[in-house]
Amino acid sequence: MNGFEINVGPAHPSTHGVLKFKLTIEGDTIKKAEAEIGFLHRGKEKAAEDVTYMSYLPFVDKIEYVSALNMELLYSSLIEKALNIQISERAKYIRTIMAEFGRIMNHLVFLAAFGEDLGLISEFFWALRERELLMDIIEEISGGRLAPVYIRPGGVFFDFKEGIENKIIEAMEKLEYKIKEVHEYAIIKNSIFKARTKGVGILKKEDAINLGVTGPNARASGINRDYRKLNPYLIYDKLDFKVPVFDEGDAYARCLVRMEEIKESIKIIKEATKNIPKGDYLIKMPWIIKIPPAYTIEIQETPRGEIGMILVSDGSERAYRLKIRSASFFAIKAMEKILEGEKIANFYPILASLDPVMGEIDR
Amino acid sequence: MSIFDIIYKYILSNGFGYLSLPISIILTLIIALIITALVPLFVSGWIERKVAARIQSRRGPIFAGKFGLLQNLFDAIKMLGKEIIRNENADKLFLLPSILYGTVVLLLFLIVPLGNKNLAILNVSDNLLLTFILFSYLGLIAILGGIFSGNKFASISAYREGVKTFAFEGIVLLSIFMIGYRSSFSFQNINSVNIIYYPLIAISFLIGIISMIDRGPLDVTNAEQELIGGWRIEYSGLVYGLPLLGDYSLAFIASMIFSILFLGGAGSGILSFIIFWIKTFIIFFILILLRWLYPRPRIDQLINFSWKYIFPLTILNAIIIWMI
Repeated sequence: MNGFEINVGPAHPSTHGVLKFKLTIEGDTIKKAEAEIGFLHRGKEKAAEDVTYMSYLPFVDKIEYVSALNMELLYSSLIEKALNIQISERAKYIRTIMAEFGRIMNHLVFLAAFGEDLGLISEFFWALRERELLMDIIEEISGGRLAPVYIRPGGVFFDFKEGIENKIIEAMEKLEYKIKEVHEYAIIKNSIFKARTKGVGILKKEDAINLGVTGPNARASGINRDYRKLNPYLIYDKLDFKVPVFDEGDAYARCLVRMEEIKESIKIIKEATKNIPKGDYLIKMPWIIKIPPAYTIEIQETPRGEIGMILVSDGSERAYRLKIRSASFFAIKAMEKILEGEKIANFYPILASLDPVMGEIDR
Repeated sequence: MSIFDIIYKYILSNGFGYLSLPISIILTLIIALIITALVPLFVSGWIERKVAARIQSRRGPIFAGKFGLLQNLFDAIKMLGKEIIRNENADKLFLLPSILYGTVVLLLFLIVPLGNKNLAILNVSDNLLLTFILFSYLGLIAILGGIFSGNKFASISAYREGVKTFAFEGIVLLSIFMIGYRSSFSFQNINSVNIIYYPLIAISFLIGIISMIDRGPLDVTNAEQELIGGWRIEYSGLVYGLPLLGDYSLAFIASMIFSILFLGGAGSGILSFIIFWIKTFIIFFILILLRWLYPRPRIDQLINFSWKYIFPLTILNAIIIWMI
């Protein structure tokens, strides 16, 4: 079994979509890993040049389908920044709550996939069951579930219904209990889980900086950088929340960061829901948005890391060019480096711990 | 007395003469086949699916038949209709391992007492040793399947199976020897509740047998998420279904064997028949819980675990019993 190549993916149950890895193996050790991407390329950036700014909004959901709300928020903020308009205070609160919903939902899917890749299939069902709590609330607010198309330039599509605040707080308390009683015991405190992830797939701090890794993956490697603290948008500067940072840089630390982030997001949602002010949820916007010639950049902290959008506008109702900086792309690039010298069996926990979404990488 | 003996006697007394032996062999085989098919389809398969579903907040099969009892039967019928696809690189004997797997399960059902001393289909002496031999054949079959499939994932699986043999087979063999040392090497003659004398050996036997039948959480060789089914990756249709149904049966047989070896054996009479099955289902339930509540360890961790912790504990238990 010396020096042969195996192809993991694109149709492999544990590659989180259509990612392909070409592994050169010697014995049980990976000598070289090469990622192949592009199996899910749909030309989403080019599509922005063909449709109007408002029509592009549903496309954004499908770029990053696991935390679609965060992408909607990013795109809407980009358009508002280009138009130089301010949204109402109530809309900011609603958006913050929805963005944190997106973060929790994404991290729950992470836990689900992580558990499943390590052979604990039950964790998949448990995490998705908890995600359903939030899905129901999002469905009640927006009418959609996975791709809600709720946050729009100028505010949000619908106001919060009466009594939804209580439902949110109730769901958050239930989620907090489930995280503490189910997921911590199933994953974090499980000794087999610890044995499989501790010290596995270590991403060094320098490598993380050099390879451009951001978000929870970077925070697990000891980089204290969160765009919500660094350059606060929405109402994040008014809120009291911690940014979990771990120094180990292994798969276990990456899982811990996400677990802690879920708890922090629950705190944020509770605080924001209690203090939500009255007012308009949507400011008056023109039917067809036209953006004067400009070069606009908007960066936000999505659950996967920092995703940026660069918009070049030419005064018409369509974008001249829209560039999206993907966060998972850099994680996959870092994975090639992490994998060298690891065992084959460690490939799956490492891939799951970096939490890539192919839709966002290929766009 | 065994089921075969009863059938043979009955047919002989009805005047079939020299034909009675072949007729009774065929009848016994038909009974064995029916039991081998019924257990995974309606008993162990259904229970496992239902309990796993409850663990995962699902309802499990509900539509086919009462409580979804027919679901596994329909799945098996669907599996029969599928095409068997042969890989370009596959060996001529590609289909053999899967069929052997089914045969081993059938043979196990032939020799293990089904709840009562006289209810075994065949009465073989020293059948405890024969059971162990059949269980270790499962590993050989997995290696054969990995080699014959002509797939890289299957070869990794075969290699892992070879390594895994070192981990637990010795321990299971030692446990079986200890049972034979105290009681007997035949299932029929084991009467004592051995778990009182062998508490540590009972644990190591249970872990070892889970590893030998390649069941979760120790299913390193056919890991669904890593090796996509391991040596079974290239199989489809009937030859894929045989090991799948075999898995459900093997867990059940393992719990039957555990309840005979450690929890008092198979007695005679209707009361001990009921008690035997209660014990077996409790062990089967524990096996299901272990499978659905724990992630899978890595192959090297499995070997470390077995030689660092399980093996010394087994030896310790054995030495204490020898000294007494």
